[in-house]
Amino acid sequence: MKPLDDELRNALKRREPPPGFTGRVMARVEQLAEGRARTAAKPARSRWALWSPASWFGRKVSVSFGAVAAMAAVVLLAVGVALWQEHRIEQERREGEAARAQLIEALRVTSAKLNHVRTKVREVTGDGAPIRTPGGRRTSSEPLFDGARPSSLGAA
Amino acid sequence: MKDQTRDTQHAVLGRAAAGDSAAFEEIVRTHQSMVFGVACHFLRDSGRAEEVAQEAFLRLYQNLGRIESQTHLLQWLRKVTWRCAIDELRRAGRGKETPLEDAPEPVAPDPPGDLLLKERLLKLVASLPPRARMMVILRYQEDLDLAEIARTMDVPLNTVKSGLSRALAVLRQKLNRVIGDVKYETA
Repeated sequence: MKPLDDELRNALKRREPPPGFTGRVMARVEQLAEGRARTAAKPARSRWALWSPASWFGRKVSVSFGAVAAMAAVVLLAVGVALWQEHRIEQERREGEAARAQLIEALRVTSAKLNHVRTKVREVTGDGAPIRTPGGRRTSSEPLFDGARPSSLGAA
Repeated sequence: MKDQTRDTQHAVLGRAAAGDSAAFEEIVRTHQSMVFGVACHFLRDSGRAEEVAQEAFLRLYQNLGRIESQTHLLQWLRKVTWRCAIDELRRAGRGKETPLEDAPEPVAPDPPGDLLLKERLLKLVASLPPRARMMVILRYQEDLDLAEIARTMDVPLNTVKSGLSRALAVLRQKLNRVIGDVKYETA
C-alpha cells in the first residue's frame, strides 16, 4: 500500500523557473523604479496651478481640470440663481406697482361716479338739500326725502 | 546558526525596502522556486506561470514597505501568487469551477515507471477545480497546515477541511482507476 500523501509530496515539489527569470524580474523592477522616479521628478504643479493663489505665494498646488471645471460650474450656478432671484423680485415689484396704479384708477373712476351720482341727486332734490351719508348722519337740518319719490329714480 | 540566518534575511529585507536592488534580487532568488512552483503546478503552463511569478514579485517590490518579517514575506508571497494565478486563469477563460467528480481525466497514455506516475498525478491534480487544486498544491508543495491554507486563500477553515478531503478522495479514486493494482491511501 502506497500512501497518496507521499506520492503527492514527491510530485508537487518546488520548481526552479526557466533560466534568466531573475534578470527578467529585475528588468521589470527597474522599469517600475524608473517610472516612479519620473513621476517623483515631475513638478506637482500643473498649468492650472498658475491660477491658484496658493501657487502665487510659492506653495506648489496641483489642481486638476476636473476640479477647476467643477468649481466653475458651482460659481456659474450661484450667479445664475442670484440673477434669477433678482429678476423675480423686480417682476414682483413691477406687478405690485401695476396693481397699485389699477387700484388708484378704480378709486378715481368710483369717485367720479359718486360725484356724478351726487350731482344728479342734488339736481333732483335741489341745491342745499341734505344728503344722508353712509353713517346715517345728515349734512343738513332738512330731511333728504320729503316722502315723494323722485321721478328720475324710476319705480322701485 | 538559524538565528544568524534569520537576522541576515531580515537585514536583506530591510535593505530591499530601502531601495537596494541587489537585496531585492536576493529575495527573488530565494523565493522564486516557491512562487514559480505554485504557479506552474496550478496553471500547468510554464510561460503563464512565469508571467504570474513575475507579477507576484513586482507586487512585492511595490509593497516592500509593508512586509514586517521573513515569515510575513513568505505568507504574503503565497497569497499574492494565489491571487495572480487565479486572475490569470480567469483571464484565460478557464476559471469556471467544475464539480470535483466532473473534472476530466487526462487522456494521454501512461507508460510505466515512477516518472510517468508522477506526471499522471500532476495531470490529475491539474484537472481539479481551481480552489481544490490550490489547496492540494499548498498542502503538499508548501507543506502548509489547514489553517495556513485557509489564511493564504482567504477562505474559512472548514472550507479547506472539506475541500481538501474531497479533492484527495477524488484523486485517490481516479488514480486507483488508472493503476488498478495499487491502492492509494492517505498516510
